[in-house]
Amino acid sequence: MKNAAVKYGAIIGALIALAGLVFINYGVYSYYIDFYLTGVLVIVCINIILAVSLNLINGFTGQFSLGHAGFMAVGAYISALLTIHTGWAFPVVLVLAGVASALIGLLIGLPTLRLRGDYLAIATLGFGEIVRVVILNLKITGGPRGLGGIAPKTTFFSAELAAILTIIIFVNLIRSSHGRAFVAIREDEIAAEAMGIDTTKYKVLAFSLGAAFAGIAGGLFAHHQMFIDPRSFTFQRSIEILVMVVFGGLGSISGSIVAAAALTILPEALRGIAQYRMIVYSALLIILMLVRPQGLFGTKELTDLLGFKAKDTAHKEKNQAVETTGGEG
Amino acid sequence: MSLLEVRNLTMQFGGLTAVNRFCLDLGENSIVGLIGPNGAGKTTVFNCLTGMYTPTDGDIYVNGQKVNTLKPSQITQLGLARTFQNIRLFRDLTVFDNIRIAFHYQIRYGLLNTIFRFGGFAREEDNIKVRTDELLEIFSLYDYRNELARNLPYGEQRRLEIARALAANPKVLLLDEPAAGMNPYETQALTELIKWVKEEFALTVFLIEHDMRLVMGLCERILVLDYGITIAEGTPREVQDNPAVIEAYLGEEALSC
Repeated sequence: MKNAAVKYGAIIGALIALAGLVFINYGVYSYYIDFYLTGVLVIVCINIILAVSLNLINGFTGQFSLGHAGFMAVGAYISALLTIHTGWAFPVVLVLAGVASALIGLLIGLPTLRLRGDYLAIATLGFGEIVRVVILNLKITGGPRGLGGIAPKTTFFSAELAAILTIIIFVNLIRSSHGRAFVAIREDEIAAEAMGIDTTKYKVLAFSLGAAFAGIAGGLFAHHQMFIDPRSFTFQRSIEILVMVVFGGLGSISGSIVAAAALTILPEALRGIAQYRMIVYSALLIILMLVRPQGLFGTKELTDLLGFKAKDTAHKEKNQAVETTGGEG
Repeated sequence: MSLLEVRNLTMQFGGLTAVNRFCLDLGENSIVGLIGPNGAGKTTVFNCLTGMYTPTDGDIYVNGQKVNTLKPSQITQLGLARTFQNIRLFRDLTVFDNIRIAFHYQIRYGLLNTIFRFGGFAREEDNIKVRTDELLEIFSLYDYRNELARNLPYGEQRRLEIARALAANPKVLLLDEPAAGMNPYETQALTELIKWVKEEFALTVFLIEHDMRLVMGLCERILVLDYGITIAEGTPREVQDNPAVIEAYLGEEALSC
């Protein structure tokens, strides 16, 4: 019965999501959704990719990284430079941006992933700053003046496609023995190693995969803004992505998606109250963390929650039935 | 050929010699116990065997292959699985997932098969599910299948850890105080279980235990460790009557009276 409930829950959830997607796509396609709002939607897609990929590192594998903006910057600059200097097709450029970020992730991950907890956080924070300072001082990146004249190749549809592909890839990855290996490391690294999981390999893999998709998100970002400078990839940016991951729930892909969308749209929606905007935004964050410290979804996925809900009601009904019989007796 | 052979294993921490010239030879389908007072170095021996520590000196061979410098995961893949003195389950995962994870190194699908779901991915996942459920049945944990490991009663957590170690398909099973904290009734049930598992899975069991009833009732051979030195070795009866063992456990006066 529970399986059936999960199945129906998943089908209903998928249908609602699909209807929403069709509606948004039609809106963008027919220009019913205006240029500004479309821009917000593109950022939503980019943030979804960033949050989901950071969740693999921080949420599923339990390695506290604060360097996601650094990987995003690598992807953004590599892709922008490739577009400007080679004129290769956008998907190729994006993939190369992802590969470059992954390689940097590998390079950073191998030495730093020996560190745990706070120490790793500091090391990755340092990495992010190094990337920013290097970009600031290179000639080819335009230094502090930034890099302009990037062709606006990111459309809502390409960003959306990238986000959907990212979600599919990460969901498939998590729901496999490889995914369970990541989670085992988060739960107990020593036990995971004792069970035959090469924890070093999987930590580096999580780090590189996360970096790769941050790079792709960076590429989309660069070709959306058409102008990038080091200020777009500061420590603040890493924190923003981290907040999305924590808000949605460390270890929940659905959570990251919902949180990325909500925390991108919310500040925009609050623009009406101008100077109080960030106060309201911060207050909401604090309230959520007080009420639900594990984040919106905890480690559960949307499909689990729909299933569990059905089970709970069934349980309640049974209890009520018992109560009624008791009353009659 | 012996499954696990240890020659002159020595482990030093700074100036302290925790294990001194420890030797062991485990054949197929045998069951050997390692006993000794607290701080004798028993768990250190286990940590060396499973690669958690790199021994200062000596050689460890699993199936004839030297494993001194291998990582714990590599040693597990050679057929050595263990449980921990202080239970190390994946506490926030379900009982089912705890066991399922231990099948990890036996999967054949790679990352691309995972992402694109081809090349027998589903078949292998189903296979793991079936084998996990089998283990749950054997260890009478099936009722707890979807429960978080942390919510299990203590005895069940111990059993789950053994089940998880078995999922890693070992030839040698190392149990670090499997009966710690169990009441006599639970210990009796555990003794029967270990006996049964050893025969059913054709295992060699090497265990550390303080509960003498379990050790004496189960082990074919016993090694006694004191201050890192093997002070006695033999059948349970021989060890029980050995003056050096009595001295180590009860002090010198115990002998004179």
